[in-house]
Amino acid sequence: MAKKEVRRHQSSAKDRLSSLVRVHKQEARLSAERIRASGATSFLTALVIAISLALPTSLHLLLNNVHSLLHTWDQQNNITIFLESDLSEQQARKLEEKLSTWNEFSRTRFISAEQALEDFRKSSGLEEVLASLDENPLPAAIVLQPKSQDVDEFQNISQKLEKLAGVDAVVIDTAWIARLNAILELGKRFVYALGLALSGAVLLVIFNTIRLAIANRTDEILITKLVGATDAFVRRPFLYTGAWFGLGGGIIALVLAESLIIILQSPVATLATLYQSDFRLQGTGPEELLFVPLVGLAAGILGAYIAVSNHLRELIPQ
Amino acid sequence: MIQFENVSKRYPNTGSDALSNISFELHSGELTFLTGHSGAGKSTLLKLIMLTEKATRGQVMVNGRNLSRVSLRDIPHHRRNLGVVFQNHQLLFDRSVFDNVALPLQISGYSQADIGKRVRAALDKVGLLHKEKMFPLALSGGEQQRVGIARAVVNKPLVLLADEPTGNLDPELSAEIMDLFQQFAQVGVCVLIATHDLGLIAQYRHHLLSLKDGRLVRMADVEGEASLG
Repeated sequence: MAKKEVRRHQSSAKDRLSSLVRVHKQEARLSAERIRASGATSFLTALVIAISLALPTSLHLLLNNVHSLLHTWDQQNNITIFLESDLSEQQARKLEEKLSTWNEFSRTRFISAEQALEDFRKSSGLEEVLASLDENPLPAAIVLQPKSQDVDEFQNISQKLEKLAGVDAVVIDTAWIARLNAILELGKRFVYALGLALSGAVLLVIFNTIRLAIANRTDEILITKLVGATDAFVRRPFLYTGAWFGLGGGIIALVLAESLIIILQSPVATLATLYQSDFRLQGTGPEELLFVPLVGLAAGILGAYIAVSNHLRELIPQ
Repeated sequence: MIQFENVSKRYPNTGSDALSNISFELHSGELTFLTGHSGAGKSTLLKLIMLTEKATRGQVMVNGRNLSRVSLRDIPHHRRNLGVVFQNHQLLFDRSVFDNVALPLQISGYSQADIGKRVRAALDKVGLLHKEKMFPLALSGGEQQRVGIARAVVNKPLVLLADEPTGNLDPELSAEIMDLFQQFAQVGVCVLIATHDLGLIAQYRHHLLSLKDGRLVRMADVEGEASLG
């Protein structure tokens, strides 16, 4: 009799699967309804989560923008060699031709001493002073645009150039790029650390929210356990609640971060125009659109999991 | 079906045993009363069968299975073979009568169609088929208890445990509930009812387990003849 009875209590694999899907759908809907039912409280919780996630997200976006701004400057970063004054224009042009065959450079441009003086006269407004000079104090120069923007590569190239005959001085100013890059790297690390810490905060917020939800439903948990519920069954609705909070908070965080970008857009554009730049702030990209809600979701599920597991541990028979 | 062998239970931080050296055996198709004053150990004994507590010493066997060897993962499956009727119904007030009764089936992963059939059969058995859509709070105490019984038997358990099932009910309702339990015993379920309602015990002459201060003081069969416990 025992054997027959046991078989009667089992259901087919297909039944189980369709039942599992149904139960999941139902729990997802029920937990969403519970969250909606507690209206303002739920919204505040989601908002706390959203602000925690929005802070590192917006910092990350701002850093991204600084980075792309720096990148536009990077491209204007050239090496200038000043030629010795006794070099004839013909020799100088020959040198330029030679350099243009190097595959380190994407572009070379020869500036004669006369042209340099002319340029300087135009831009400096010191025409009278310059006119009083007997001879042109400016050397001829060749402006080189390296293909690589790597700082180390710049150093190599400049060493090679210095050895060339007729080269007086090689000028590159990469120090500021290096410094900015270092600062940017620092900023990135800071944002990562902040993001990690605040994701932890999100986890704690959700842990605490779920703990309260559990406290309100201890009877229900006990009853379901007594009629044979597995831990997974008890956990499920709470995991959905945590997931909704995390996901919702993540989405609100994106809205907040995007709002910040929109608010800053027009003053940044004005500023850029003043610098003859068409730089514009970049908002959230596909990366952030995916990552931020995912972090919220993960923190939500994990926070809920820990909270329920803590409670379930108390129900283990001793 | 249920077998206790020299079972003792001592809770941490208490000096004495809640249950002390208990041995008995209950069979399928039997209805047994479990009686004793409050604190005599009735609840503890039921908890050992439900595996919400574990015996400190001795063996509890249910359906041929030694409960001390049931792993944490297997506890839910053990409980699915039991039906439990609680003193205070323990219904979930946020869902309908139907959903309350359906709970054990949902947990076991039955198909929607099976759930519908079995829940209605169980509700029909306790005479509440017409109230499946109502919420527990709209029902009387007796009706709530019957919903609790429907939930306990919907899974067709091998063992039916009841903790003071007639506790808050008047004699007429108690009789109705007792009739139900007797019917389950007749179809082969092992029924164990914890109660301190001596009138009930006298009225229905069934097997009797009597506890006093954690010890089994009386074990009587249907005819009421005392045998040593």
